Amino acid sequence: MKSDFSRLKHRMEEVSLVEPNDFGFGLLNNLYRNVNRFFKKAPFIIVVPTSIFIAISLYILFGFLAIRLVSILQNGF
Amino acid sequence: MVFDFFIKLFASFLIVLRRIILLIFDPYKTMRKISLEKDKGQIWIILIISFLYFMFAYKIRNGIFFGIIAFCIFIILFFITTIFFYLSAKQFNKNLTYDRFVFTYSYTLIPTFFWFFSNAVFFILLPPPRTYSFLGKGFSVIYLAFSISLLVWKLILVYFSLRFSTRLGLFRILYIFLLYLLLLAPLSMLLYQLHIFRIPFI
Repeated sequence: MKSDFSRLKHRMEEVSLVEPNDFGFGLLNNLYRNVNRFFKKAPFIIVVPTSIFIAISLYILFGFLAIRLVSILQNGF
Repeated sequence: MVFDFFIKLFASFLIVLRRIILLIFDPYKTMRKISLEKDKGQIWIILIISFLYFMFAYKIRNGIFFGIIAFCIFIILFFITTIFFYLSAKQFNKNLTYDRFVFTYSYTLIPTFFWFFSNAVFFILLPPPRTYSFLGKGFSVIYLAFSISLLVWKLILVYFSLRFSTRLGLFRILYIFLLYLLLLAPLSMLLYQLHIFRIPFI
């Protein structure tokens, strides 16, 4: 029983490690919480499709410049 | 004694592997746990992985000797970064430990390894420059999407790393990070001019 309590105490301490962000404005707080939710757990669900969309948009907008950028980046390691 | 050391190092290696997977699926909770970490073996494992990367990458390019130099500069850059974040955050919050910054920031190097290592592999399999053929364009779009994904993952990890190391709010973290970019930009230019890093490994 005691070990359960100490485990709960440890968990509570871990969860309350940082204070929640407070922007002093309810709408901003809600916006932050709603956006941050996507990054806290399995961010790739939103990040991968968005990245594909941005990559295609870059190619459509800048055309061959995007391909030149890839050549430069490939030499970047 | 030596056997114990290797057993501990192997245990740290397994923890690092587990945390890499968890940082993909659950970055917030994992970074929170990392910020409470005490096992320094994990930092050694990450440094060993980075050393192996430099040996691999510079064997393809300039030779292993330059790889050792690049690795030493990476270590200096890593400590400049962590000390900068520590000292900046100390202005807002006095109750901080430097170790926390080293632990969390070393794990933010994981997306960097993925990108640089895959870049080195792509350099062998599909050497640049990219052509304007259908396959060249297709690969370019996939490569861009892959790079953007890893960059966003890196930024997410850096944010959570600073959040749990500094225990500060979003605006102060952004402020510290912008100051860091002001330091990093001229430093990257210098390293580029010295032909050490084309893109800073950090």
